[in-house]
Amino acid sequence: MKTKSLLLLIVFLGSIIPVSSAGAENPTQRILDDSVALLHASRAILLDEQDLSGTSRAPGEMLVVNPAVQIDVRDAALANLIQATKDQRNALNASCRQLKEVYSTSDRKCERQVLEDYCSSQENKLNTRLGYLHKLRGDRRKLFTKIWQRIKRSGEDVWRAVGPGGRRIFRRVGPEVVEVVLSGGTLSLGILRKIIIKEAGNIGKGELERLLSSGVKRLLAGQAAFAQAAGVGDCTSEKLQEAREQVEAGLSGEDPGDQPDEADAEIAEDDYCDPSEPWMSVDYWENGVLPMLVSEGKGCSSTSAYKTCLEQKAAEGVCEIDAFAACETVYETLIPTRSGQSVHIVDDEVYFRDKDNHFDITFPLSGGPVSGYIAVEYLEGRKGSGDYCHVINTFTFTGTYDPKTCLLSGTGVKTLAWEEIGDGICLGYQEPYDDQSRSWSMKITNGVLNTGTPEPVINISATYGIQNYLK
Amino acid sequence: MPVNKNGNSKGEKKKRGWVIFAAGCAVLTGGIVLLLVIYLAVGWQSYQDAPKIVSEVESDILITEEYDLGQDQMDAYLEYGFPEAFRILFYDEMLPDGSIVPVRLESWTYYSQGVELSFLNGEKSGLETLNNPQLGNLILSPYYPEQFTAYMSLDEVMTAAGLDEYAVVPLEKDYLEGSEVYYGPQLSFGMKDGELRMVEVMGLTE
Repeated sequence: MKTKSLLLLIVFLGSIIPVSSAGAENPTQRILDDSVALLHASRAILLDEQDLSGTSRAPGEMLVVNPAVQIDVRDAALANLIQATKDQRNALNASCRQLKEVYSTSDRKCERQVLEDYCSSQENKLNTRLGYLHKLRGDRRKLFTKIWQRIKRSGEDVWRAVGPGGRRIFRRVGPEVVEVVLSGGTLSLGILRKIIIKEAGNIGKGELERLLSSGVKRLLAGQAAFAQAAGVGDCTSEKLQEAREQVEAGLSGEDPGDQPDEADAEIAEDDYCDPSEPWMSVDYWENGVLPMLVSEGKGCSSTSAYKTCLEQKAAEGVCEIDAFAACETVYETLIPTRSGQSVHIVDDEVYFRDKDNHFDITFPLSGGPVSGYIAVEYLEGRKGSGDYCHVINTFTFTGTYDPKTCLLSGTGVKTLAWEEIGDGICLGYQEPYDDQSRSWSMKITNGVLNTGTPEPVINISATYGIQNYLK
Repeated sequence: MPVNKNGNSKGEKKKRGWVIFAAGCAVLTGGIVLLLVIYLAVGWQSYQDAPKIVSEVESDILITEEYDLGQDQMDAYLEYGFPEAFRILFYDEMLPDGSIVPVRLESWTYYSQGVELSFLNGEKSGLETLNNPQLGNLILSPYYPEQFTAYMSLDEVMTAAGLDEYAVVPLEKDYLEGSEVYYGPQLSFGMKDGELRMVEVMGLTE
């Protein structure tokens, strides 16, 4: 136990002592994807495109930074990188779609096969990257990490004061980078200038998509030529990898089986994780994951699929961070409250004694004002007598929706009207009936609005999956 | 000399007390020094990783060789002039004979003429007609594509582009390990493991 603790301490100390990147000494694999990723990162930072799932902003609003969420320029830069990954994935999908169309009408079977493999593996890779970045952002919001970051910042201040001259740390990355690009940092020179790709986003987007498309086309042609040269008829990625290993072994004289592949390298890198150590539990979900989803505006969504995915990965012995990465596609399906959409539910068949009733409600998913109306109408009477009591209940309400608690609440006016056909039918209805002001509340749980919770005024206990009512 | 029942003299006891006290002080001082070293090391790492502007950069590297333009690129110069914006990606690819060759993928944009050309290792690989809106007065770019060659070091880029100030944003390890993006006037470029992998010269209007 003592040895393990000592080793952990050494690893910890080793990790905080600055060392030069080992990658610089090793032969580097210079792949297209890395160059494209750099271009996307550069654009996202320059255009200050941020993934805002951790902040509350509806389109057209000023960015409202939650002080508990965004602490410094690194958080902004991380949000830029998440957005850059999303942009890269979108550009990749656009290129893949376009190339698939081209190859589907030609007889270039091998290219088509390579393309399918390439697109799906790249998309997985980008999803995994997004998973890691989201996890990183979640981790940075934890209390201990925040304290640690503060200590680092204060240490940074020491170096800022005594460190090498001619260095100025940014306060806001995107806007300050724009100044540099416009004028080399002297704003007076660049005040009247505009960056074309910033002014006209579509131009910039088109440039990137075309460049990526050229690169992918070239890559595919190279792969197909490679397959032909290696005498591989089947162009699946496994066959191509085999052929590639044969070529490499032929060149180096080594057994390709001895070469560590990328997956091995990843396992080696993450070997601090003990797969037999259970990390997923109800407690971890409720106190670790769920608060993170709430802080990212996804807490009111239907999170069960995400939970199931994490549980499944944990059961398979997948390490925590890899499980988050593997479940990224499920994470993406959770509706963020900042998506700028609103919920509008209209139901003319809501049940209360019969199905001919009305319920409608409208509220913004990112939180804000709620308005709605309930009308319940029914007949009471003696069977076969022709006498009846016609009752109409209405409730016109307003209020607010708080996405942090997933609670909708407010006040409204309840009305009751009744008409008696016959005598002594409408029993129990007082007269006169004055409009009454009542408070109300409803809750969204797992993406479902339940009108019967927690404080209904008119007891229509209907449920609505909000995903089906987004506008 | 007075001796207690354990056989220790009073002087020895006093001496041992001083030794314990000195050892305690040494451990405490060592602990404080260690914490201070960790604190400064962590601060230095954080300082290094912070996005910043670096000015008064001096590079003593002399660039004598520029990239040799392909024939198609020279034709493009003659037909359209210097590009108003361009992007270059540098990466490697493996040929069927197992050899690794560098690839230079470029796109040159002429906003004012509504044309975009792409080149692979100097050969024209595409021509796109652009429907750009009215963009105002374009500012001439101070850079041209042959200034940048594959896998240049930071110093080489500085010298080639004539920069004495730049902004640098180190990227998260989970995004792309060992990489940074840099910005200069009308320019951005990306380095990975100390090698130039991407350049973008941006069009500006007034």
